[in-house]
Amino acid sequence: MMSTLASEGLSPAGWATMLLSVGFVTALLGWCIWKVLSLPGSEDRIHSQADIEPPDTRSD
Amino acid sequence: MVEHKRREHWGTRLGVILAVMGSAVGLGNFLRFPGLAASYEGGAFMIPYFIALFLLGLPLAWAEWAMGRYGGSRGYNSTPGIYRSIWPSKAAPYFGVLGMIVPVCIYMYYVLIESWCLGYAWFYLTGAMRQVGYAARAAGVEGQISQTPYKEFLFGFIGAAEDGSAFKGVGLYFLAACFVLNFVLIYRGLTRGIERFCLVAMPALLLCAVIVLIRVLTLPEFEGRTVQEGLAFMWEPVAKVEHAAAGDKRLPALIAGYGASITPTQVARGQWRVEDAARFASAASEAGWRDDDGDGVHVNPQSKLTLRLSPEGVVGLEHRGFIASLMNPKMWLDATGQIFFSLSVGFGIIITYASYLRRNDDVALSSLTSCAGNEFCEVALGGLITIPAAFIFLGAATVTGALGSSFGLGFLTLPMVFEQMPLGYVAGFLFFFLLFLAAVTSSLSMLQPAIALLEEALGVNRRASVSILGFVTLAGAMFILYFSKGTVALDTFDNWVGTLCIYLLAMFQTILFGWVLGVKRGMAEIDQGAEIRVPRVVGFVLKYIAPVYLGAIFVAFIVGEVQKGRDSYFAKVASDSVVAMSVGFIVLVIIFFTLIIGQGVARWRARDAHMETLE
Repeated sequence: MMSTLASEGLSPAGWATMLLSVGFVTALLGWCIWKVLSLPGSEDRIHSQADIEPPDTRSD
Repeated sequence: MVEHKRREHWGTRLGVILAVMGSAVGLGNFLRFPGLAASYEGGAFMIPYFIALFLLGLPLAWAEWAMGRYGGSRGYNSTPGIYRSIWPSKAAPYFGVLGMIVPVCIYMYYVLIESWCLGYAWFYLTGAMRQVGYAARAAGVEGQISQTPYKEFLFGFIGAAEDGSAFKGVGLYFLAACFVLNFVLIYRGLTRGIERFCLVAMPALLLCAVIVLIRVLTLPEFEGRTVQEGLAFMWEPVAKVEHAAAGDKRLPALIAGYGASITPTQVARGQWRVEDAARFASAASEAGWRDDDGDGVHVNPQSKLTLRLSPEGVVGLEHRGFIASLMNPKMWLDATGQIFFSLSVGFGIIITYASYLRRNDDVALSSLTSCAGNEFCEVALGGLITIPAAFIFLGAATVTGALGSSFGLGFLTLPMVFEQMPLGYVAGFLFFFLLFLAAVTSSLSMLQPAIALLEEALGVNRRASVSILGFVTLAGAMFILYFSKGTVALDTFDNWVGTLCIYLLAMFQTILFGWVLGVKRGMAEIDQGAEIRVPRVVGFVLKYIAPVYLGAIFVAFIVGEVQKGRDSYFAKVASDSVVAMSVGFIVLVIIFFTLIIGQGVARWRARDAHMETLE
């Protein structure tokens, strides 16, 4: 009964899982940002919901 | 056909990125994801999560952008109309009812969470949270803060104790403020104003999140729990077994959250007595832990954590481990649902907005950048902030099962982090206010699919369609606000619509793209004007792998739920009146939009007949 807590911090596998996951999403975002910044005319061709204005908002 | 004017652009490439990020970030990243991941012990959840991202989220996001632009170029902006343009069948538009109820029903509870963010920002601004902080310090032991005042404050604010109690508190005013703000913005067509404001607000939110992240990673030990263990809770891919005994300083961490009548302090000081084991076992049973065999092994039916008790004290807490967790089909369903929720895939939103694009606008890099921004905020910020902090302050048992709504975790945990930060009250205000702004942009986009349908189907203008939608969503939001006890109504909407219906809609759209539009035509549509070349394997994935993957998880989930008997997803409809009413409300919304779509089909047919006459 006098056992001690077995669970401690991250194991090497835990570190690998965390670094791979966080590293992947960070690298993917970094690559996308680089791609958008390096493409001439991207400000007119890349879209999000933020810059797409439904035409009916102009008709009222 | 709607006239497509040249869109205004943001002027700079950096502006484009900020706009994309602003659209991507929402409550799903910072609140829903951590709550869900924590309920499945984090590490195991990330496996189906990333598989769903690669096999479903990204491919389907590309498919939705492409199908939306395809339908838009043929004169349709509503989801049912776009489906009709791709699949010339009488049934096709009626599948679009999913594309209506998903954003509309999610809006009904999303606006409520949005109001919680506004409320918390207000409480930080007015000093109410400072009072909670004082109470937490007073109630804490050995210089640490107690979670109880934060829990009581949150539950009081959202009315978690009793149905109807949220109507009596200030929560109603915050909901009203959010509702009015959203509808004024969308009624007057001012959505671009708030989006432009978010170009400044989003970088500020990210900066604020990074500062909070740094604080979380440097938090001191709390009741024996450390940041390292918090990170392990989230990311460790192997089974975790914790053992402690009377007098062990880590024992309170195991006991906290089980509802035991023994205080953690007593145990930490070695004041555990033989009779305490019986009291603890009784308290654990009352808290929902089951000991069906009477062997002292208590299992939490929700989290599957196992608590072993002996007459001498607590023997250990066993997480069920990685492989066992992966066998849970509900986790796969939830992980897939979270990917869809977060990326707005299977929502009917992307397909509607994409219908307003020009033929040569890019959809490939736009979609990927949006997904990447989302994932960064969700995994690198939301996951690293909220879950380790929740583990430290609440303990594994509370985090994995005792909080009710997955949205609640952030509201309980983050204020405890801010309490331990320099200028924490300023950071708390900024964080919740900026999150509120992010939620506003997301909630506004949820209304557009239904507005597009009402305009197309009924031939009314934007203001009339916004007014109709206002009544429908107000009724839903009030329903969810009233039935606030244990957030049952909110969770039912989130489970049935925010996970299950999104899932069904995504499944339909995958088949629509892969088998009806066809991979060849579909990929050509993605390539049209694309700034990057999407790998050809995406077509194969969308045609074969995604439908099989979605179908397999769905079947396994249904079988698993049927085997659960009275604890199942579906049995609760019969056993819980609030769940039954919530599902009934969703059915009413389905009937409403089915009738609207029927009207739309009649108008489209009349238009087609008129065009044929002219030809």
